[in-house]
Amino acid sequence: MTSSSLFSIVTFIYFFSFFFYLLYFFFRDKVTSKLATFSAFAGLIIQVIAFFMRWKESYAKGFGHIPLSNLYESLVFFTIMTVLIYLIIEFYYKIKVIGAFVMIFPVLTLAFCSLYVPNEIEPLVPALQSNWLTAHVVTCFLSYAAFAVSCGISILYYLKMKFPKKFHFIPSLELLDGLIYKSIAIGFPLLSLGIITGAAWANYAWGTYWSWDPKETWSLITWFVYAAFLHARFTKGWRGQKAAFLSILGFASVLFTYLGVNLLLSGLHSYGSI
Amino acid sequence: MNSNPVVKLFSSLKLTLFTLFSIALTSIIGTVIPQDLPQSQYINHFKPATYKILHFFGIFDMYHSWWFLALLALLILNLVFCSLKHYKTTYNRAFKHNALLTQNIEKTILNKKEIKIPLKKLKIENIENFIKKEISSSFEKNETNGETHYFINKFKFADFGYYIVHASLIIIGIGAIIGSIWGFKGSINIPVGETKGVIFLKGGGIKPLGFKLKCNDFKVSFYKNGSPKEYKSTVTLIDSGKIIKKDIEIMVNHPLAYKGIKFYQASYGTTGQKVYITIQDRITGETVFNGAVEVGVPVKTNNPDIAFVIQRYSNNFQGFGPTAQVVKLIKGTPKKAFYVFKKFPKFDSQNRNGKFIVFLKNAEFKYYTGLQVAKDPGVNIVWFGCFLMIVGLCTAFFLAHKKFWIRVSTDNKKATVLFAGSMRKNRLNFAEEFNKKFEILKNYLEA
Repeated sequence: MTSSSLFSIVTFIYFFSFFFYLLYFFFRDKVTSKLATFSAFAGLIIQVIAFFMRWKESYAKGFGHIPLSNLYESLVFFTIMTVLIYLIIEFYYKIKVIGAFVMIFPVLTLAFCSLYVPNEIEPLVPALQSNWLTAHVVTCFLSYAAFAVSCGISILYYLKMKFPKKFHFIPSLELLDGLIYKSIAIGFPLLSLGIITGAAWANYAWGTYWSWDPKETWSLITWFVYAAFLHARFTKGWRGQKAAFLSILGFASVLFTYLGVNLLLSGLHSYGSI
Repeated sequence: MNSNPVVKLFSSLKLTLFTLFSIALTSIIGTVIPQDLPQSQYINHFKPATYKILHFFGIFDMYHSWWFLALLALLILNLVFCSLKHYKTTYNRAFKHNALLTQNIEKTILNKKEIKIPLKKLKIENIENFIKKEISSSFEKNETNGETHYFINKFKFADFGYYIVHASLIIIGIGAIIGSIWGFKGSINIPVGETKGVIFLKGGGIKPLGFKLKCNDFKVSFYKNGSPKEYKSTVTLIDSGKIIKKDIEIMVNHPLAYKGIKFYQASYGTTGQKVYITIQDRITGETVFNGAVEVGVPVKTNNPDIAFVIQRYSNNFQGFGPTAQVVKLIKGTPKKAFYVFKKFPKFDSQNRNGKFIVFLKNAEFKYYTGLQVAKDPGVNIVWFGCFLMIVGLCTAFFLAHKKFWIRVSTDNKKATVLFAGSMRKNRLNFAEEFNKKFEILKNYLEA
């Protein structure tokens, strides 16, 4: 069995997990909630195994490298990080109704991957042959995952706010608001670290730590949006609806930084066309 | 201080949000319009009126335009004013405190719980052990009016996290300014076998390095799928006529550093091409030219009206091997271009009519290596700023300043222990933490 076929299996497992979380969201049945968490957890473990298998497969091809080098590999890694961060939050806060709103991201991402993104293992071009690759990609994607979770919770926040009676089982707005802040409080230092490791790497490879390349600029735009979120919260007490809005806006900026720049604009980070 | 309207404006959070969103929104322009291309490309692409407007606002190099730099300066100014404005409050909150839990203070604290125990059972060291084990090893103890007061000021530096982050941004800015004043960026192309010591600066102009690099070799290798595997230059470093170091390898992600100047593998190309061709008369079979020609220099034939010029040479043109693009020049007629291949010598005679047949025999060329050259005396300041930023962010987000008080008062029979605590942010979680701590304190007291 190859890593690619395992990744396809994981797509289905995550879909079931999403489906169970959705069932739980509407019917709040304990069995489905357990099935949802179990399948998310099982999917995560299989995906991590597949990640290491792909790593090993690259050595078999004669140019071994950590699978974080092209669009396919980065999308897969993004889903691993999202599910991981989500499960940590679920275990820590014991809130399961967010599940469907977060698991939708890995399901859509992996489905997009298997339909449109070439999954060949490619050798590293000279610019990527660096130890900075791992540090840069891991920090960036951990932050993206944390922001994805905060976006999912923000959507939940809007649902609860608009239909408080229908969704009485969703945890209180105050709690959701706190969770939105907490996931951004985790994501923001990681994004900063991701930008810094990227700058350090660029300086090492090209002699410039900042060149206003579209990817760099968009990561800075994202950073500014979340900085605005934090300032508005701390000093003006922007909470609730306004905060949820900024968190969704921030994640839209993350998505553009991550995918829009590569697919629509040109620059140092182009993965090539799909 | 607050009465001055200028100070008020510069220290307002509205300005912060305005500047953050302005920078974020305007930054998008430069990611859509490619930056810093040769001017002619913009002139060709835009209508004259549009070009004029865009040029006026410096859109073609917008991240260095006056208004963008002004926005960045505004952000820094705003951050300095805000920090100065709030610093005193934060300082007082962290260091000035009431170590005595008087009744006035007691009223202002949300989290407080009392426990009463018989006087005989009271052991003051139990309370102190509780503080040391469960809260912090350093605490303040005061005894007044027969009461004992304990005060614990935990993570008092946490409130300064934001100031550390703000200071780090200023430090990064200083590093960037130092780099742009006392540093330089440029490039140098050195053909294999040649020695050079002058670079072309990014903004135009040249700069002697004060030492020289000799390029001994350049190699490019490819993976099986055709993507590049490695670019490697081998150079010798020569300073004041002396060889400092031989056979230094420069690769992507492996720069060379000397006297604060760094050299990065950036590009490569070919130079000094000599193409060997033969021109033959189709009818007589007579060789009218045989030898080496340079690209772009016309070769005469025995017919004064006809000449040939090699326009381009490729070592492997679309998989056909060595190929030259040749242009036939006939007086009074338009140019005609055609290809000749080393691997297919009959191709030209079979595919083209005319008096002369051109054969491609061989070609010589050498690689040059293209190096980026950079000196940035501000870069370490930038890294220091980045380090501070991470420290500041972690302090601000993951540590919280907490205050705890314990007051022990006694009468003839019993002792009353009042436990109080406060934390500014995250009140929900703190209440839970406080209650847990109180239960532990109870166990200590009843032990």
